[in-house]
Amino acid sequence: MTETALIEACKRRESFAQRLLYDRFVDKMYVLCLRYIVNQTDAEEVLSDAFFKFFRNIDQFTYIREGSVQAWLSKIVVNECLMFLRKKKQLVLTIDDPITHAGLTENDTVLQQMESRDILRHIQEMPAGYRTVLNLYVFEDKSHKEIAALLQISESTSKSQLFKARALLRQRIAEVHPND
Amino acid sequence: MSGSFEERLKQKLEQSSPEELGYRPDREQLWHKVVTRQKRRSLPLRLWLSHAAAIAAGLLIGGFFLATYKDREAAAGLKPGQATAVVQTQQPQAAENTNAPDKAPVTPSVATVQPATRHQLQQAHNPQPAKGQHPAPIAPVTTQQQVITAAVPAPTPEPVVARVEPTKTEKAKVLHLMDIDNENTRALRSPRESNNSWAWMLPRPTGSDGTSFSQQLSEHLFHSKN
Repeated sequence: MTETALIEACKRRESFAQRLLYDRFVDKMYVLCLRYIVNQTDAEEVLSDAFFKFFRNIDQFTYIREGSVQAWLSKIVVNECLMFLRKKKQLVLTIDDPITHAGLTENDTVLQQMESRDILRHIQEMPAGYRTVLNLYVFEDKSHKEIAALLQISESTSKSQLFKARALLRQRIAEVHPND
Repeated sequence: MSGSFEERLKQKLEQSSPEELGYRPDREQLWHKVVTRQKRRSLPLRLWLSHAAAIAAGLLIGGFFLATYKDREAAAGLKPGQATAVVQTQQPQAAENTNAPDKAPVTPSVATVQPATRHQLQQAHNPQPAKGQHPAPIAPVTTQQQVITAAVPAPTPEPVVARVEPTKTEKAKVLHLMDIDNENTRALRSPRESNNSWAWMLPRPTGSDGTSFSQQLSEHLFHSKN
């Protein structure tokens, strides 16, 4: 079944189409949630809220091309994650964290050799501010201006948070894999 | 920091399934959560409908009881909202206009008239003229004139000119309970005891001759001194 047909069926509130769409995107959205929210139960709660909002507001969605459903759903999930972090007051942007640049490696082969679960664990171990900015910039392809508007911070803060997030991630990877 | 690092990071995580990342999500349970929330959303609409139905039922019951109450009132002979008509009847103006000194002043009175009697009264005041007969022109007739016409037949039919005298409003005679009590006690007392020097202390209303209380008091004091 094509995405267009699925969307049309979802607009008619047909449950089988909703289930098909859910099965198609649940894994990707689950991983997306886990990048923002560390706790698994919280991530599942946020994901269910996001799918509920997706099906509720699906009449407002206009299908443009292949992948637009995923983009729209991702946007809803990200917004839900940010709302959750704000509600739990976890979205605190640390400014004066000293980052030691020692041991930073420019070799990306380390990352290539790492397992996905380790990378995700390193991301989850970062402070919420770093993690959020990194996620928005790297995975959601947002500009610093958009990040600043989303998180209600200045662009320079967004840039510095991203710089520190990158440095911290590299540092953690270097600590785990010193010989690579 | 190179862009390749970010690209690799993105590829690594986006292509991974939750199981690869070490998570085992219960997808069925998640789906049930979504479905339950969708069903729960329709609950406020039902709640709203039930509230609206309850209000409508209340209005219907209220309307029914109001209708039956009106019927009961109608059966009892009273129309709902009908009050006893209060008609202020005045003495004919002619009687007021007569400035005869021997005539007692006429006090306005208030009478309650039921609708049926009101109609009868109107008929009595305005009798319908017989068929083919034009109603005579109405001219105000004074009581004095009536007396004259009854005693002596009119020598020459002179046109009666209606004159509107300025209406003199008579004060309504007020009878206080205190006066009634005083009258009763005075009647019971012997003539000797009529010298009640303390009676001036009692507040008395304006006398029938128009004298004020202060005037009456001064008169009383004057008489008692003498």
